[in-house]
Amino acid sequence: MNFFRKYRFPIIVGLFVLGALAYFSFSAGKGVERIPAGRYLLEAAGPVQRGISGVGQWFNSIWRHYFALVQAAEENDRLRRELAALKQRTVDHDELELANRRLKKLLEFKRNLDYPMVAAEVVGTDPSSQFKTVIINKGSSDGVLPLMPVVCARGAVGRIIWASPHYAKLLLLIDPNSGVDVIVQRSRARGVVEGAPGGELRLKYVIHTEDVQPGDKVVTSGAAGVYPKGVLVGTVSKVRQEEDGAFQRVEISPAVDFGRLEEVLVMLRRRQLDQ
Amino acid sequence: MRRDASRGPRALATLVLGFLLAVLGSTAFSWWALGPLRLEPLIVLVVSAGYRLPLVLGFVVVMFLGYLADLLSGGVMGLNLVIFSVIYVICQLARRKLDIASWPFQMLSVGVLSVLAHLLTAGGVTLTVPSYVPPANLPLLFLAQGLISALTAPLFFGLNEALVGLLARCWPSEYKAVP
Repeated sequence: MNFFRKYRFPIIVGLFVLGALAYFSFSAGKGVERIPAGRYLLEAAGPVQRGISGVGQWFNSIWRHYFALVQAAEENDRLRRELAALKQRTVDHDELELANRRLKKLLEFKRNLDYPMVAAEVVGTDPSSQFKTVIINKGSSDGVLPLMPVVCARGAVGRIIWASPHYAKLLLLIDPNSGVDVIVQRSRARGVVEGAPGGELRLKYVIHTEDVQPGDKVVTSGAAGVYPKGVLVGTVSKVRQEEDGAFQRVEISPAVDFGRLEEVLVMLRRRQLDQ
Repeated sequence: MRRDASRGPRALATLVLGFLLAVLGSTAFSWWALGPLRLEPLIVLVVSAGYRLPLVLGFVVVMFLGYLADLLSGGVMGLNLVIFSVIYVICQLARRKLDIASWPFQMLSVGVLSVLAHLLTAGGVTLTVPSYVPPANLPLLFLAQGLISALTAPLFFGLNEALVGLLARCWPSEYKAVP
């Protein structure tokens, strides 16, 4: 008893800090939250986030549509949507053409992209400057589960890392913890896209002999089992040949404007490798 | 040793305000962000808990705040839990010699500990993502973030104290026992 009294502070501190460290090391690399209490907390936070986001969007809408140029804003929105859809259609078309050249069946390719989807709204963004996640208003009761890929009209957005009944947390492509297996559409060079500081993407593990040029489109390879093949990830913005090392340094501008993410589509697709 | 009768209202105020500020941090505060720089009210609450709550109760409150921050931020669960625990322990040690009643010291504490929190976060990310290369301007970014946190610290300290005062009215017998 005297021992506990004498060393009360270090014992309590040690217990709590070790507990926190144990939880961190247990969670690291898993990317999926398994404690049920978290779901209830997110369920409690979600409606508040949704309410605040709704109020914010209402003010934003008033500002843009009544105090700013009414017609121009609407026209701009419509044109942006059309442009984004056309861009994705161009990418789809290029991908189909290349697939035909390699004697792939068009039907099989279309089936690859043909998944049931659920639309969701972004209700909260990451409060930290070092991480890139968002909360969406669809959860396990809508069929949304961890590891499901998320896209929008412009291209790949990220993947679900965990879900409560009505909300889910989405790890964006630009987060440093994110990694997607991709191919350069023109040359079929393969690599892994990871989040880089400043909201950019970095294409890694592309060896020196591969042909990668600025302007090349980068699409998902479908290899890692999370994303289907052919979803636009971004465009190569910079290629640098390193003096030493086996790989090229390739930077990618994301296809999606993550700063203006409002609505997304969750592909109700379980990871192929898990099945 | 006399127990601080305001610990109940203070713990509850920290929990309630922590929840509200965490939700605001993921919505309204991110709209007012200056580029990558954000308001960080949870650090203020952790510092406040470290200086003013008893060891075990404070740890429970800080663990809740860390878990909440992990839920709403980042892809690795437990990172904020560890960082908040470290900050809390530092404040518990510092309270033996110092007090944060004055706003300049509140700003100084929060500013320094905010920089430390970001350094630990970067360290945590480097541990979990070995290929992560921190940007060159990271130290400058952390200093700027620390400055913003320091400048806004008295506001969140004030909010917390106001809520403690409000909730203390629901604990009349205990709270009034404090001379």
